[in-house]
Amino acid sequence: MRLLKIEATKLIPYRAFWVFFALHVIFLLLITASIGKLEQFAIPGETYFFSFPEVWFHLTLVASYLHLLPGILFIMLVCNEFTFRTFRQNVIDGLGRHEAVLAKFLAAAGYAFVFTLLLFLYGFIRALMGGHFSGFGNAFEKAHYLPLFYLQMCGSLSLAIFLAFLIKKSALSIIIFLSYSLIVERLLKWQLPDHVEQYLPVHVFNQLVAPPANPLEQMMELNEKVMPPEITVLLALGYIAVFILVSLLVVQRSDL
Amino acid sequence: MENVLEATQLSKNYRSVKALQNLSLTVESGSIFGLLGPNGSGKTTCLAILLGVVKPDSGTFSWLGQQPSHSIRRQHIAALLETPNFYPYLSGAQNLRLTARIKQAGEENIDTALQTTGLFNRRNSKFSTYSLGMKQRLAIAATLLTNPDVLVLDEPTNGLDPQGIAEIRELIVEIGKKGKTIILASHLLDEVEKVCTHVAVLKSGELLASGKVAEVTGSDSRVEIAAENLDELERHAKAIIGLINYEREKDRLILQLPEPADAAAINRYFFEKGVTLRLLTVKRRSLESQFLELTRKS
Repeated sequence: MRLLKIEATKLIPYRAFWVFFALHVIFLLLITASIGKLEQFAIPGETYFFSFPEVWFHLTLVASYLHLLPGILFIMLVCNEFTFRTFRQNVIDGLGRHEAVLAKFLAAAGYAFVFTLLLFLYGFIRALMGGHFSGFGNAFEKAHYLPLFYLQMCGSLSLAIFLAFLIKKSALSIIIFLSYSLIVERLLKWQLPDHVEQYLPVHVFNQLVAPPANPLEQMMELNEKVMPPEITVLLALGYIAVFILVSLLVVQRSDL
Repeated sequence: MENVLEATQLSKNYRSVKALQNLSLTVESGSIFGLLGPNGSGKTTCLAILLGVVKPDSGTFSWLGQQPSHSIRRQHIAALLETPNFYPYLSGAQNLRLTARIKQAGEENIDTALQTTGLFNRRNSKFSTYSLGMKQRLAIAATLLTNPDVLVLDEPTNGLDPQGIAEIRELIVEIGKKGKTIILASHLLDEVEKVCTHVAVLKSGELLASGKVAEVTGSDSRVEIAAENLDELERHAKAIIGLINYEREKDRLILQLPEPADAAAINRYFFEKGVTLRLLTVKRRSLESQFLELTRKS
């Protein structure tokens, strides 16, 4: 709690933080709004985007494409501490190195929590007002996608923070984060055998809230076996733990 | 007396640069300890190791008789290392609030600290808009938030105007009077001589001398004399009892005599020899000359 308070003191007056947060929310609203419009053409009988219980899956799926944005924010936050030399100052002032590292991961968990909560409220309100509301009977049947989404976001952010601690330069970290998430892992997937590729971190995180395979992918990855969700969750938790531990080790050993 | 800091055989290399070589220091409780050395002599590296931000290659140290840890730093030490490091987008007051949170100290001292350092009127301006002198003052303000046993200050008067320098020195001496231990790194001899009780002289990462300022300064004095006839003056000067050494410069002789040199006696001596002195100045040998001598030797 003390570490979260310290991070909040740093974040709340930081304009760039609010810009990123606003963009994150606005993008979500824009995307879901435009998908909502398409709904008018929906075939009768198809589930509507904002109707219970599908809304939880739809929303988390759409929102999961936006993880890179807060990832960039958190890379900036970590690298700022190195550029301003405030990590050094924080440690001189009596913050443990491990505390300085954990504070950032905690802040990311907090951010993911707030965003997931907003997502829940947004989905809940839209589903109630959407005109397709038909009682609460099965309304939360697919609500387990919310904690999965939360975990996915924590995973993506911890990868970003880990890279930032490793590289310490924000521009380079952001480039590596984006290119790994968007390109490099896909290239790796083509090179690696199926039973290995499914363990790559971004793939694991994406699998938490996975889109139904489209026909093209189905053709290309005919043999791919989908991991049971419990294993995916465990793997994701494992990756997060590894990212935190390696960050701790790196910071513990280096000169600040 | 209890030792606040004991460091033994600290060494640190940055690639091929030997930043610190087998440095051992002891700082007594209640002393104002000067760490003196030219730029690049390892002062900051030494303090960075003692403050836990740089890992020594070898050697150990203890604060207040305990293994160094972040909780000791938080509770007992306040430090200003090298440049003032703050969040540029936060105001002075917000930065201090953050430091107070990290130190787990109350926020009641923030206003006083800002007033003491003359920043109160600018407390709500962003740190990035501060001048170098103001940044330095904010860093000093940050060390005043708690009531630490030890104050570590690295070049605290850097970037300040003469008035600011005088104020900060006064503040340091005042804090020292309250029984706090202060470790002060400086390349300004004058500063160390004016403020400190003890001094350690560093050069190229090596300890050249350490002890009480008066001891390191030495107990001999320099006497400058001049007369019409320098050769005659020199002949008589050589015969002075107790003369340690002398140097002949362009128009004067510089004698090294045991402390305290009695100007009247010297004047009388030469007058009795029939030499009228045109110049007679007695100087306690300054730390500066000692320092230059020490650093030149190695």
